[in-house]
Amino acid sequence: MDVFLQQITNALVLGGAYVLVTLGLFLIFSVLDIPNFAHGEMYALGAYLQYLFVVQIGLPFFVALVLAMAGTAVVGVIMERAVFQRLRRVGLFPILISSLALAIILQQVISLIWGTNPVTVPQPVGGVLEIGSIRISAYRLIIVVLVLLTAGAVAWLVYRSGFGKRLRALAENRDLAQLAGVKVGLIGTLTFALGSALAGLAGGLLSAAAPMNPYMGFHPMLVAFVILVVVGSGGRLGAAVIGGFTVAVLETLTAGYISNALRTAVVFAALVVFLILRPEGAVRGVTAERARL
Amino acid sequence: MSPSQLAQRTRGPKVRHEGNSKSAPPSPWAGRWRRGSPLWFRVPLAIAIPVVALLVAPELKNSSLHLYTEIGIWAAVAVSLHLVLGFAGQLSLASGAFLTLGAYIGARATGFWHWPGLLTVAVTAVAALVLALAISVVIFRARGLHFALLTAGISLVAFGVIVNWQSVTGGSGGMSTGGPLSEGGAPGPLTLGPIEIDSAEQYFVAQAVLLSALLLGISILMRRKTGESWKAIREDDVLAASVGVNVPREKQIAFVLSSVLIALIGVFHAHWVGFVSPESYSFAKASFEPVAMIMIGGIGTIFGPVIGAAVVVGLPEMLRDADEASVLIYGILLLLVVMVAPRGFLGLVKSGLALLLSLGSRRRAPADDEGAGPPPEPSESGPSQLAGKTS
Repeated sequence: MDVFLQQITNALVLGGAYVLVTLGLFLIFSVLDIPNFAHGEMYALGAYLQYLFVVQIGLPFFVALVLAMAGTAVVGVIMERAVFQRLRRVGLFPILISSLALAIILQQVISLIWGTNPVTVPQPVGGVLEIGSIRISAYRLIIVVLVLLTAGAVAWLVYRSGFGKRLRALAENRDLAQLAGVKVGLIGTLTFALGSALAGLAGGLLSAAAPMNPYMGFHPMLVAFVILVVVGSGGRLGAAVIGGFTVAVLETLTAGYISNALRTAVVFAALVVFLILRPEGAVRGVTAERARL
Repeated sequence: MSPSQLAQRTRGPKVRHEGNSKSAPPSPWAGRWRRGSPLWFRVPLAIAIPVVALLVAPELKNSSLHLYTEIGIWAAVAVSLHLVLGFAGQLSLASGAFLTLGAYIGARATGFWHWPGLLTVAVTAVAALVLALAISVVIFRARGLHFALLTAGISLVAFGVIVNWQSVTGGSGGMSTGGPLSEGGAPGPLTLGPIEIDSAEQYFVAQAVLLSALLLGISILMRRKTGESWKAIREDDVLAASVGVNVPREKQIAFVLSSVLIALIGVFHAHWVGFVSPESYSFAKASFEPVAMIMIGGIGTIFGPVIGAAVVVGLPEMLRDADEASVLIYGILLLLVVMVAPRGFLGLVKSGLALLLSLGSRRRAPADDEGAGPPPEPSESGPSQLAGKTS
């Protein structure tokens, strides 16, 4: 039982990364209809920017975290303006391929700059907490708390603020939003920047918890897409948070009790079974193909 | 979908018919170019390609033979996948799963069980058929991005199986068509009845036969009712259903046919390489690259996937001197191709031709203007937006 609880606790940190990456992808996909396969690379980029600012330049950890978020947001804006906005009218396939091409480019740029050997960032906070029989390092606890705070802030931004109102209008119906005076281009770009920054934050936080490599973004990106599809078109942001933690627990338990190599296969097997039982996703929406906020 | 788009879609096939029956004097080539070349031209062409391959094979260097065979095999995969992706309009990332299935059955059968090649082919076909049928029963309940992820999931599960099921697949080490590595066997030949394919030249010729037969078969199929139904589904499945196309059944047929073909190509690929390992059938290599080939070559066309395969397989080979930056250059080129020609290389050629024709003729069908007009709304070639169907 103790081992089981410890596994769950370890899963929380991984789940935190999944939650942030998924939230970003959720925003980008529902508002802009872009299945951004380069989203995982934003996560990797966030981690490497954190490495750059903390280890190579020597800034304090949490200052670097803000800079890493800003950096990924800027890259996100460039991608959206230079590629996705131009392809918006053309269709889904070109957007898909171009996002995969962007993923390849970002991966290669990262490995050209920082190399392919795994590197880590030192943890800013030391110490281990013991709660009953469970041990968790103080930094990991900080990650989980920060993730939950960020998710709360994003929820407030999307559901309570003026920006969120425009964003949801855009997600609901682009043409009508434009008619109502929403600056769709600007809101779209800002959403993309926000989504990318969330992935960058995830990367920056996890950079001190696990070694990083240029290809680390692929798996969280796939997980985020799985959650997006499983949550379904009617889901709200909260469902992404629950989904992120659930997948992480599922993966950690598989790795702990069955086989480490099977963790991805188990997640996808679960996805296939789930979609067979309920193809429209957990929360039914207006249409089966499109997530809405 | 806006009313004008709907009108445009409904008009599409009708205009195509007009183009066929009475190609108006000012643009005599418009109808011919749309319909493709006649059968008396295509059959000899399909025979001529392998004959040319047979004649040039002794002249080629080993490295070129290798490159052309690889291009040909991946072109065959892309052409088969294109049945689902380009004609039935469903973004399938399941090609990796079936390629893996065929390759591993092939390697196991030749190397360990010493089956005759024809038995291997038959068993692979039946296995792929059963698996594809089982999958297709449920898979088409999902559409758009859901379908893409579901098929990606199937490929990733297949990858997980070959890495983990070590006793049968050799795990991440892979296995040879020559049997266990301890016996040090050389790769086994592919024997199909009296034919035995062993040398690089023979594989090169066999690949040419395979590819041209596949292209001929598909080009004939596309003119029959099945092909027309698939195109109708691609354009608008609700509309297709309303004119009597059995949409779920046609999608199933396209998926099963494409899956069986890909599995058979997997058998061929495994024998050609002589060795199977998870690395060769990773998600990026076996599931995503065929999709990229189709996109680059031009979706909705017969020859597009072949051109795309030449680009995707040939580019890294050409960029080998660039060493570290080669993958980066490949990524940038891929992005540029999609930006410049979102409907692929042949899509670019087609709109160019349409533009030339529109300059050359005064009498123009209204649909042609739409096809060549500035908003690149894919009405004839190129499947319509998958996600766009919802609004």
